[in-house]
Amino acid sequence: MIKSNLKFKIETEVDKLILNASLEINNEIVCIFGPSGSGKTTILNNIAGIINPKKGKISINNNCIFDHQKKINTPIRQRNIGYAFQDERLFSHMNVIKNLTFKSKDQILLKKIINIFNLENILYRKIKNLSGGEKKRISLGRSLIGNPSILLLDEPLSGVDEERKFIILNFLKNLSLKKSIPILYVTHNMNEAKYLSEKIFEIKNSILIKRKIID
Amino acid sequence: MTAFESSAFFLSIKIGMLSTCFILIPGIIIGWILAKKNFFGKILLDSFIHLPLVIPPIGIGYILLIILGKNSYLGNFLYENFNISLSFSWIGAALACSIMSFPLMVRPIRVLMEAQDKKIDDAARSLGASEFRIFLTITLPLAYPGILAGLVLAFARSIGEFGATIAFVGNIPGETQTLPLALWTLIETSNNQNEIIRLGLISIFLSILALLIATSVEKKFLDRLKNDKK
Repeated sequence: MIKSNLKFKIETEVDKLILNASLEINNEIVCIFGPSGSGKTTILNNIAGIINPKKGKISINNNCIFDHQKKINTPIRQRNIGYAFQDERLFSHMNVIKNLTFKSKDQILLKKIINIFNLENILYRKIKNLSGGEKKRISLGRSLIGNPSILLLDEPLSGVDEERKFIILNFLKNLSLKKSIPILYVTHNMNEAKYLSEKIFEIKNSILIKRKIID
Repeated sequence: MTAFESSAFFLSIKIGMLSTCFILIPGIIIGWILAKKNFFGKILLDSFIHLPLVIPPIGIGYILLIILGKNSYLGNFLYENFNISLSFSWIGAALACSIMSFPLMVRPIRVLMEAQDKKIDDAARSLGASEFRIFLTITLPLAYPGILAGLVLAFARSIGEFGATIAFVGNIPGETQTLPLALWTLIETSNNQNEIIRLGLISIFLSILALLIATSVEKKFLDRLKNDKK
């Protein structure tokens, strides 16, 4: 099996402070835990290409997508990243199914996601008529469809009911293992982080470091 | 309505419709550029688009006559090769109206496109969408009310257009004599005050109707956009 990976070593700005983050993720889930405003989302935005690091390198599957020295900066749409945004960013003028199939109409994965994410009954509903938890599930589902090389998940399950949450967390664990997709998972919830991975990082003094887990 | 009134009324509608058709696509493109793009000279483009609001309309009509009149190079070329004569024709009147109403077409489109959340575009990019696809599937559907409001506003402006039209295409009954030109003719020639008032009221009615539609459409959809953001 080809090992996919995400590697980055970046220097980026968060609230006028320089944040240093460096990490290598193989086909596994790595969690970033910590309070709001520490720069978790900024790291994801740097990898996605929504904002550019001040310095550093980012590569996916050993292909460089950003290098400030070599002036490499692959456009967002060519990075093939699945990104579940903290604020969902669903297309409000489309219904649920159109949001889900925006990137790809892959029916097999679509059916699986509809089933696991419990979306059967809301497929043709408008986005504005949905609850927060429903929007979260759609945003996460949308990011998984279309065969992304890596997944960036920014608090994807906040507001989702506990029972469904663990069904989805198991699905993500399987996806990372079986499809060999590196997942960077940002959360406020330590239980969620511990359930998903042993590799939990946090941002301390503007540096991304591994967190010591005390049970 | 008398034959004189109905001829001016329907000609105004015909010219108004063609003039809005002329500027629909350019209006959407310029609105999109002004709302979404940052570039050197943007202020200049913005000012240039708004020129018809400040230049005397008769001046624009005169410029059109110089550029597209039969004695001009371009006007002569169009006439010789395609048998198209814009000056003193109703199509020329529509062209003059479209230039005068262009800023009103662009404005609501631009406002709606600027009001759109730019983060949504990033979400679409992260899903592999090209800029063209984002324009077609995100920007354009969300700006639809602005386009509709722009169309109606531009149409209303065309209905009231006088200066540029009379300078470029003259005042030919049945060909270029729209409601304002017919009204002017009556004021100049008729002694019947009632006739003048009647035509004036018809013009006002048509313009107010178009404006009411434009305002309510824009308000309704701006409200919807705000609700969607919540």
